[in-house]
Amino acid sequence: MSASSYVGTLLPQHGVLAGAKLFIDGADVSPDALTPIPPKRIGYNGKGRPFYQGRMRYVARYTDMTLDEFQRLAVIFYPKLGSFEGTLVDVILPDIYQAGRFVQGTAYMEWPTVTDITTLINGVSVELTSFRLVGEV
Amino acid sequence: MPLTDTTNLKRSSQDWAITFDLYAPRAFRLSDVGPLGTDAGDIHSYPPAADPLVSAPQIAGYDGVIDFGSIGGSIAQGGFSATLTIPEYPADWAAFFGVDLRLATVHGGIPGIIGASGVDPDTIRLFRGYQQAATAYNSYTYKRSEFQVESSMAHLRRAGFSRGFDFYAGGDHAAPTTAWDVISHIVYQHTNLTPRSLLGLYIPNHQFNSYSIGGGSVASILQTVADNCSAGEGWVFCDREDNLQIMCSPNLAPALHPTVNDPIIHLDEELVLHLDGGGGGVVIPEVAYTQVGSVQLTATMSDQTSYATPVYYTGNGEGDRVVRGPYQTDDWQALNALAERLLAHLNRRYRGIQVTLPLNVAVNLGDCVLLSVDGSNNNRGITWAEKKFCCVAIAYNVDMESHVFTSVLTLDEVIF
Repeated sequence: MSASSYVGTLLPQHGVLAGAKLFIDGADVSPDALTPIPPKRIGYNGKGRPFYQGRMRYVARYTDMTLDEFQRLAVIFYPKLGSFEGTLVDVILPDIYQAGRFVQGTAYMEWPTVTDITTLINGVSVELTSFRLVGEV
Repeated sequence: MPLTDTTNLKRSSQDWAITFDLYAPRAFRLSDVGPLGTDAGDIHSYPPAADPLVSAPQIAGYDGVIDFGSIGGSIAQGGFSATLTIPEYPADWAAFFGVDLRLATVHGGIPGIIGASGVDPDTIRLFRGYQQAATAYNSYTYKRSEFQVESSMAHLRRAGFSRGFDFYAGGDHAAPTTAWDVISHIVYQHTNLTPRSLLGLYIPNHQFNSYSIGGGSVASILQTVADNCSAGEGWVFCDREDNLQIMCSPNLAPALHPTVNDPIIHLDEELVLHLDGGGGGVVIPEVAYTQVGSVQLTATMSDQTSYATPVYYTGNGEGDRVVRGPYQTDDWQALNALAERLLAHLNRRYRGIQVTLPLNVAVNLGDCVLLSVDGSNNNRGITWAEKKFCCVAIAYNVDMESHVFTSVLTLDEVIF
């Protein structure tokens, strides 16, 4: 049980991370935008402090993507779907406090919408979850 | 046992995962009473063949469940239950397969509940039970099977004795010396509930020189014995570990209750998400007084001391009009003490206090907890500083879609 896959307050809670780099097994698949999604707030305690539950997630957004590019990406992503072990995704965050810090995660890929054989309507999103810092067990 | 360290539970960022093991089916067996009241029945072996204690799950970390339904249990319900939904029909399931639902938690990046009382620090058991029913749905694009999982109390309710027990000197069932002997004989010698489930006895251990009880389900017989010993307030239930617990409200037998002098956790305002009486609003309920005027003990037999206990209500007294007794014991002083406590217990003020907590804590059914409330946080200005309550029901609200897990404890006031 990989219960430790959570870095919580160690990661920025909001804002689009422009310029973030994303590598899968060494291949550069950097997205157009990387958006961190904070956990869900489930309520406040008697002292007025909020409680959050859920996983910290990143959504990597690829816009203006052709079908060929999608297939290249899919070939990289699909074998990683649903796996909970091993080095899957490395993220280099552009944040000045997080620079150079690698994060491992699990990838879930959105099924794209296609108009014709070459164009994706909205690009595609990849959701990254179950983070932990490299070196953390 | 020390109080649970709630420091990590109060960290605002949390995560959870339900882990799910399948283990060996339960082969529950019962040995009926013979036609002449003997232990060995006509066709049943006595004692019944053992149900082996299984330590390792047959399928560890089963992940085919797509929904858990509502998971919960209460003393009134006699144990826990949940409905597991599995897509399609994945395998040939053995009847009454075992289910072990556990919750792994992460609080602010720290896994588990460090220092929790009596539980594994990595995961907490939601409950252990056995499959009781399977229903297949052949819906278009959503074929699924639902498995009803319940504590072993379901076995005890189905299995019944066709004849009753007569404990008396010189009989086939020799005279018991105490109420615990009666229960132990029925559970250990006539069922194979143990060793897979343990038996906890926390009711007053009254002295008997004879005792008779009619046939019926194992659960109803045990309930009768428990009621006879605890002024009609006997609790017979399977706890989260699927151990059979026979106890009563700590108000009636505080010396016997395992945690009344040693509460397991302090639920303060930093931990509690919501507090109410189940009515929807933030209301701390206060029940109408039962207004018991007196409790009178009347000996109806001279040798076997059996007491009927009429409960007289004063004026237009409100609340439950409970019927009590008769109780049997050879010790009138014990009954007198019980009657005193019954009077106070029936007039306890706070019942059904519902406390919502993030994730799950190490509270089991029947456990005593401490609750603190600041007067500024409720509409009645009630201030409690470490007031003692007993947990009588637990409900786990699991939302697989929004990934939110909360627990609701139902608490009953402890006045001693």
